[in-house]
Order: sequence, then C-alpha cells, then structure tokens
Amino acid sequence: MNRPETELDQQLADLLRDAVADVEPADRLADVRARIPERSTRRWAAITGGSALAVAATVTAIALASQPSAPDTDGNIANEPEPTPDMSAVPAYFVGQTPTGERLYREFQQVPDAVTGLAGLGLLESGPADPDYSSLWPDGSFEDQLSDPEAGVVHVYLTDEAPAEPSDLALQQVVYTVGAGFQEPLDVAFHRGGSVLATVERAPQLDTLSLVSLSDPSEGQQVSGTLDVNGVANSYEANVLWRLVAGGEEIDGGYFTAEGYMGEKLFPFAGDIDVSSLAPGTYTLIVETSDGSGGTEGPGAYSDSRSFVIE
Amino acid sequence: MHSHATAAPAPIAVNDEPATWDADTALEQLYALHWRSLVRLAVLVVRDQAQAEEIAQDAFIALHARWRRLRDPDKALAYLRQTVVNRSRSALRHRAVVHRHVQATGSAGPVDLPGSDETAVASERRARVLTALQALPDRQREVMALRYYAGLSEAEIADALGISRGAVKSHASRGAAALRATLTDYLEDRS
Repeated sequence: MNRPETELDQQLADLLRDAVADVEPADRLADVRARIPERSTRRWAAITGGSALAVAATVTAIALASQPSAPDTDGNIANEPEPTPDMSAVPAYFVGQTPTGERLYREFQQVPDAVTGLAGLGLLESGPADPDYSSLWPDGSFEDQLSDPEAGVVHVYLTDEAPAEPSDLALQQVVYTVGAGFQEPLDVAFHRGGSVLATVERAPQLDTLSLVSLSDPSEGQQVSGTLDVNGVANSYEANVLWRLVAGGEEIDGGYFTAEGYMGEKLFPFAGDIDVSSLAPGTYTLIVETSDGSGGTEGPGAYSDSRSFVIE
Repeated sequence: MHSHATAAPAPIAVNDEPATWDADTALEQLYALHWRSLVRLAVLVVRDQAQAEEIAQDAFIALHARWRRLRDPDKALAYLRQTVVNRSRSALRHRAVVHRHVQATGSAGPVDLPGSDETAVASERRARVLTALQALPDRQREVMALRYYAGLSEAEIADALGISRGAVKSHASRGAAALRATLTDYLEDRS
C-alpha cells in the first residue's frame, strides 16, 4: 500500500492530498514550547536532598505491615497486591504538608469486611501507610456506632480519646473520609457525650486538599515491569509532573495529563511508567503540580510521593 | 501535490541521528519536518483547521514528554501520526463543543475561503472531498487518511490504530468504495 496499487487508489490519493494542499498552519512552535511544563529542578534538588532517603529507609517495614493478607508468592509479583475476596480499598484523608500549609491527601488502604461507609474512620485512628502523612485522630477517637446518612447528614460519635477541640482540618478529615466512604458529599454531625458538637459541611476542595494526591502505587508496593500510576490533581494545563528517584538521584521523569484543570475539584490522572530496566531496590515516585510560571509566582508546587520496591 | 513554495523552516544543523537528540532538539527537528503534514493529516479527520492545529500541538507535547522513553527514536514520526489520529478521534467525540467554539471564534477550515472562479472550483472540490470523508465511519476515515495522505502500509496502519491487518483491509476497501461513489465526479474511469 505504500504505492497506491490501482488507478482508483492513485486518484483517491491525489484527491485527499489536494483536499488539504491549501492548509497552511500557523507556526505554533512557541505555543508548544510554552505548554511544556517547567522542570523546576531547584525545588527538586531540595526534595531529593534528604527526605527521599529517609522515606526509603522506612518503607520496607511499612510495606509488610500494610499488606497483612496479601499472600507473598515469590517471583510472582502482581502490579497491585491482589486483595483477598473480603478486602476492599477504603479511602481516607490524611494530613500532609503543602506549600500552603497542612492539607488533606487521599490514601487508599485495603480493609477487611468494610461493610459501611464509615470504615474509613478506623483508618483515621490507625493512621496512614504513607509516612509523609499523619492523622489528627488518635486511636479510639470514634465510637463503634454505625449510622447511615439521612437527608445528607451522617452522625459520627466521638469518645474522650478524640481531641477536645478538633481543628477545622481535623473535622474536614472526617467529613472528606466519610463522604468518600459513602461516595457522596455529606455533612457530618459530630456527637460527644449525648449532644451535637457541630454539624460540618464539606469545605471547598481547592482550599482543603493537596492539589495532587496519589492513589496508586500504594506505599511500599512491589512492582515489576510497569508501574501503574493514578491519582487526582488540579494542575496548570492539566500537567502532572513525575519523577523517579533512587538514592537521592533522579533516574527518570515525565508528566501525565489529568482529565481537566481549573474548576473547583481535582481531576483524575493515570499513566504507566516502564520500570522493567530498573535494578532491584527501593524507589520513590514523586508527582508534582505545575503552576505555569516555573515556580516564580504563587506558592510553589504541590507534591505527593510513594516508595515502591523492585525485587 | 505540495505546490506551495512556503516550505517548512529548514532544520537547524544538528546531528541528524535522532537517537542522540534530547527532547528539546527532537521537538525542534521534528516540528520543522512534520508540523504542516501532521496538521493536514488532522484536517482530513476533523476538518476544522484550528482544532487540527491544537491536536498536532498536543502530539508534539506528548512526544516531548515521552522522548526519553521512546524505544526507537526513528519511529518518532509514526508516534506523532498515531497520536494525531487518536486525538482526532477523541476530538470528534466533542463535536458539539467544537462547533460552538468555531462559531464563537469565527475560525473556519479552508473550505470557506472565497476566491476567483478557478479557486472556487478547487475550493468546491476540496470541500466535497472533506465532506465525503466526514460522512465515513471514524475508522474508515482514519484508514483513508493514513493510507492515501500519509502513504502508510497496511501493517503500519494496523499498528497506528491498534487494529488487525484484516480490519485495516476491510475498512480500506469499504472506505474506498464509499469515496468512489460520492466523489464520482472527480474520478476518471480509465479501467
């Protein structure tokens, strides 16, 4: 087919080429260049300086602890730990640092028998798998009292273990986690000692959440061949920059495109990274928002990171 | 058929071995060589030139992002074409939005250009060819564009569209038959 074989082929080729022969596109090279995300190397150097190594050192223990029921079949490493039938991925929101102060990151953990949308509250008590995050709710903060949402409100009962005066961010940790559990935005009525402490509605996403949050890989995940990445972000031009780091050194990088940007929410992004040539060891994936100014304006990039293991 | 004298800017003199290029060099070189033909390829699929330029830009950005991981840099053009066709297909799913945009901005394809009689005849012919392409199912139109404009082989088209060679053959013969029927005025039967 490289050379049209028949007279008809030749004539159709002539007609199609002629049909666009007068199309003279404008020169867009400058536009293309302007849309390529800044690599923000300086900030990057700061990140890799120490924290990545510290993260890597803590990973292995956490990986073991957070996958209690994933059968470890040697040499047969699935990209995602295969949950046993009764396990489900439960979202919870944890607190982490961002350029605009503490905000919430969404993390999924495998939980057995998560029968209720309130299952995420147990994760707020037991804490995040990612060592960069923390929870503002100590163990035993919530009473084991199940309730279903009614008229857009769900009731959450606090014990004396819970903070006496939970901060706004702590309350939003619960509001976002419960909303994700029931898969709808809900107001939360906080009860303590028989009275309602407060009824709290969900705060705007772009004021509350980190503007980028990884869902996969999970912390300490074992990976071979391809690293599947997905998460949510609200980033300039929908560009989500990624870097792979080992031993404080960047070994690969690129970017994903989210399904949107601007608006009032985070948009999903997904992609895969070929890791088939990486030697066994622990690596860190870092994703970053792009602000379009190369870091010269605004608060700087939001980022999230996960460590994963090549065996 | 490329009668226009306004050639793409000559590639800057660099090492002409794509494997040695960094992403920025690759972008410049490949843009200089292929920008116009990729926009034209997109016009054959989506018709609207402004949108075709957007799609071709997206393809170059995607190439830049992927450059370091592209296993065979010599296949860059194939990657660009594939990206253009795939993104053109996605763009067509948002046709309604696009049409609103075109109306709002007054942007239009080459078909609306007025001109002398001779130009008018050529414009009419081009418009009818593009209209005939638009009338085809997506896959047939893509195969027609890759076969007749880009000159790809059956295997290359199968690779670019992620379909079997058998499917390419079938789309190609149906597409060609449909174009033969609608463009009969412009086709001479010399058989």
